[in-house]
Amino acid sequence: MHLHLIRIVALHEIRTVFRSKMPFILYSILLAMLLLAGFVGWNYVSKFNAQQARYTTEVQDNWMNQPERHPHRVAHYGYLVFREKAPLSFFDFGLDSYVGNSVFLEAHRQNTVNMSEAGFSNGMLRFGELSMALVLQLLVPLFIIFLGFATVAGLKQNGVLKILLCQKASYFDILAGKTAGLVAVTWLLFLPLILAALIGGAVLLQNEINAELLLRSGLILFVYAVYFLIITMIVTGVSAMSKNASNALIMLVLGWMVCFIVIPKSAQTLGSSLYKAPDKIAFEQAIEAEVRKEGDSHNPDDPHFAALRANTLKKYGVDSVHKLPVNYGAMVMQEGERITSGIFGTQFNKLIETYQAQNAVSVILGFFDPYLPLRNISMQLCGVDFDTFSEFQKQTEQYRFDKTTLINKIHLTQISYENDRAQKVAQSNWQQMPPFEFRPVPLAATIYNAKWSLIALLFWLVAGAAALGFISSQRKFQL
Amino acid sequence: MLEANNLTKKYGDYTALNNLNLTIGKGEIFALLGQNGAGKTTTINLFLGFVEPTSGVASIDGLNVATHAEETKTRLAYIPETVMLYPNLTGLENLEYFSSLAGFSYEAGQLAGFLDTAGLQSSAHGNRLGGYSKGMRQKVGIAIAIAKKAKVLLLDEPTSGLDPKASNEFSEILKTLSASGTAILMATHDIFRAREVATRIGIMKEGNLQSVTEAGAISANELEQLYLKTV
Amino acid sequence: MKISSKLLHLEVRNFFREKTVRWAIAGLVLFGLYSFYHGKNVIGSQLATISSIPSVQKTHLQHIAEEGKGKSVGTTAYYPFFYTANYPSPWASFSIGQRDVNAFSLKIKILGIEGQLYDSELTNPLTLLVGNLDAAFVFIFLFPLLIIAFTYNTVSQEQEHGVWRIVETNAPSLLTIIFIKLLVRFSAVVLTASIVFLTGVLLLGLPFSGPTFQLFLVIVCYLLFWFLLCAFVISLGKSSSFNATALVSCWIFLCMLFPGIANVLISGQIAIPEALETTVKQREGYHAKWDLPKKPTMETFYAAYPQYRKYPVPENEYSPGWYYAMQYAGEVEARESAGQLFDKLAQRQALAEQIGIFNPVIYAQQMLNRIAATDLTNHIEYLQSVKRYHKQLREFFYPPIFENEQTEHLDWTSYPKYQPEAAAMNAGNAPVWPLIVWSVLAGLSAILLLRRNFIQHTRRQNA
Repeated sequence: MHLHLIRIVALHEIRTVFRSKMPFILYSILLAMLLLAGFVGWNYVSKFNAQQARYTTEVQDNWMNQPERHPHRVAHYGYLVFREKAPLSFFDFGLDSYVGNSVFLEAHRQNTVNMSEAGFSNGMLRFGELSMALVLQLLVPLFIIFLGFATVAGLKQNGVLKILLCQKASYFDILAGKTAGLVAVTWLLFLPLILAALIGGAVLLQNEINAELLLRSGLILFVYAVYFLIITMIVTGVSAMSKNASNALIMLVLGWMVCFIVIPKSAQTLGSSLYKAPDKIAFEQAIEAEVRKEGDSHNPDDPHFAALRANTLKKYGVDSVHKLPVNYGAMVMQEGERITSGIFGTQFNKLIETYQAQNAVSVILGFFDPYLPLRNISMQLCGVDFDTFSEFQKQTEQYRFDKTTLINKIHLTQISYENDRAQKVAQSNWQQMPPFEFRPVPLAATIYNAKWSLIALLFWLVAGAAALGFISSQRKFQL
Repeated sequence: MLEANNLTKKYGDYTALNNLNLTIGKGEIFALLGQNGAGKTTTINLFLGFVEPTSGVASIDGLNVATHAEETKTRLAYIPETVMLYPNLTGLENLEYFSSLAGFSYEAGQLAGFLDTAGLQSSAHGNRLGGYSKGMRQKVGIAIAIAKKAKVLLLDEPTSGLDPKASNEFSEILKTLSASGTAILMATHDIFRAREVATRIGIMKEGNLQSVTEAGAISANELEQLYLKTV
Repeated sequence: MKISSKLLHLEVRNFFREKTVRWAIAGLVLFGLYSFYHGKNVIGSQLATISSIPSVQKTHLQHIAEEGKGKSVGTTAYYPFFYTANYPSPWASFSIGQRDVNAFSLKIKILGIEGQLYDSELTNPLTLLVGNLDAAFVFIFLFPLLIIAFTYNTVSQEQEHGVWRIVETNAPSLLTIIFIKLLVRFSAVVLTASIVFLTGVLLLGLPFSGPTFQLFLVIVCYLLFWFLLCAFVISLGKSSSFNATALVSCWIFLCMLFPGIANVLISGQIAIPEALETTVKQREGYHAKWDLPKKPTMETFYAAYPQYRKYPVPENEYSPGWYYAMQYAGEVEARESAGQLFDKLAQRQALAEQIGIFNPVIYAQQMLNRIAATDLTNHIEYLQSVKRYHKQLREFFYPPIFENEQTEHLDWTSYPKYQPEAAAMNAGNAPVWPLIVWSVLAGLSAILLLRRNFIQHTRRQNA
């Protein structure tokens, strides 16, 4: 390996690329798309968040301005939580369009997060929405393919490779130099744009910049840089293995199809057939059955609630629920809430685990397809991944449970058992409840969740270099 | 058969061929010698109709190539420096394909006969062309010309890259063809082969035909001296 | 133009002997088989869910009726869910369309309908994001790539390898030769498509009826378009790598960029905040009623159901009749924004279809979804039918509620059953003229350019 020779080859490659017209045309198209996608994404997120904030305020105001009400009415009046998009979600839309945007929180009932944007789409999109991440993940590799498919194969065709190999540079030097030159061009063309978009967009959305955001942007920049390098190594390698440029092009485009369309789609099919997730009806049936088993608050003869009654009566030393100093109805309700919430939590965690197991297939396949780990890491760093979404579900459920518990407590202590329905309590009781605030997955946890994808990406880096080394050692690839 | 009248081809300011006057009769083999860029290939391309003359007329069998492209095409056959045919078809199938293109419909036996005449060993007829040597492909090219019953044969450096034996065989086949009345124009660098095969030899320089010599009237050495002096 | 059968025969041999051709065909057939498996899988599990409904519904109602003993229907009617299902058409497994994103089964209570329409099925969002590899995907997105692979070097490779010169000196008509070459390639594509399609018909059990033939017609016209687009690019007379680059760029533009931009345009033009708006409104409308005098609420209800005026509703205490009237009144208040939502969804679909006319990829996709009844239109129809069903259910329960009947006196099996829409099961009309128009345009320009670049190219060189 001769570093200065690699540099000479690389510089020559850069000059060659900048001299031809085609890269320029392709880059202008990609640039236009990136700017368009960035603008559209940013605009959408800012409008969306403004809209969600408006509804959040409206719902919170309505909540605060409730007149005197019976606590159980308040429990059923419920609360609506509107999901806001993460600051970097304008860059990578990730799962955002496919997960619900609002959830209705009420007593007794665990509602799922509903109303995703995809629900009202018309099926035009089969490759996802036009986001900056989509362009960078799918189209920049294609750009690198068009830039570099002939880089070695073309030299074979016109015999220049033989002349080159007669000079001092080894075949590996040539391949390394070609890779370096191509990736330098790609980095130069795209990385500054990514950084500017990430930081500029996030600052404009939030009006502030914090260390975490900078760190996330830096990491995104790093993984995309690594990704472009991996793709470039593959392109150079395939070009070096091909007899002529058009063979290389066909192979690369075919590989692109397989890695970017076929494997990602089949990974999910494989995942969902390996780990069967229940449909909604089955999921709810399972919960209902378990709740029935645990204790049925509607049934006066239910052993669980009979025991609760006996214990309570004993505790207060009275012989009838009517004589209790607290509202026994509220106590039953809270007990029911505790049971259903616990069962729902367990079932829901099981469902999430099933989905995670399904998604793990794409993490493992990341060792066969470099697109998958990058896609996953990018979503995770932008806060539009599965973990963020399930975190949202969990936090809203926790918030629902806390809120209902508090309301039941008011019911327990401030409403007497007799003539329960006719009583009301003051507004101040629920005005002290804090509004919902989503706590996003912290960066350290994100990185921990992304560990296998990161390892896969590094694996590709090492494997790419090793492959170039192997190809350069084979005589048949020099002809 | 082949006739050039004041034939000139210019590319902008550059004159590729200047005022060529030449007649090649039936059964005659005319060899064009000259350095690279002397105008040999331009001459052939003008007769093929691949390029149009700036002025003057190239005609085949009395028909102007530029105005009667279709008719002249049926009368000529062309063999480039390297005959590249369809690698996935056999020699026989290639011959069948091209002769069908030219409007002929031969029996399998006839086709094999043409390949035999062109000197391709029968064991190779059914093999795919991808595995042929350069000489073998050249022979399929000749067979295509024979099958087409071409009155005129245009050859662009047909013997370059052939081994001496293949080159010799090739010359023999050309002689047979000319004996049956075909007019042949070949551009070549091979002075000795040219003197041996051709009836007349022309030497070109910078688009001009400098001299024309009867091949029988000159020795190989004299021809080489003449060539070196001219170019 | 006379085409000798011998020439055709040899061209076929020449083409199919290429190893990459056979690989590509085998690959597409494999993708096809996989897509049938996938479609069958997705729709099969939806059908399994749907078929579990009757027994779930039965036990659910039994439990409700059991627990409600001794209470009035007015109290018990609050609890039961009634299940509905959007039954897949027989062609849904061929083109899954929006069936994975939109709920195919909704359960409703006789409370206000609006909040209940947008419940989504539980699905792994990542699975939704990567989307389906169904048969429609194979035909719409992968077959064009096969066509590109078959055609991009049709003439250019022969020019690059030097055969073309010999062809030129031999062929009386180059157009005929180019036509033969394209004909062989197109036949190969159509043959592959037919085999894959027929396999699909058998594996997916598609009925041999109109819609199946319509699917095939749309596909063939669509493939013809791509083929002629390729012919157009070839006719420019550029190199193989230029052709490949240009055609793959066309593919990316038509399949990814154009739809992406169109989607942005559509959602920008017709924004849908109504779904949230409706939910918030109905909730407020309904809950405010609790603290308002009961009279106006009852009047809203009586406007639609005057026959219940005769039942007394006490002003100062809770009564079931008033409770359900309140639910109804909340629904009425949300009706306007709900109507807007449906209008906008219909507008979205209409705009998408207009845009589709300018992009054969989108158009063909829409037609396949329409034939398979898996598009947004179908989902809207389903939601409308659920709304109608909700009305039937309410009206079934109003008499016993107002009569203050006991739960055990009501026949809990005589409730109205959900009838799947007849219209939703019928395949829509799928005209192919836009595909034909685009094909003709591409084909005509291809012929013109072929004449210019291949037939008269000697003259041009001179100019």
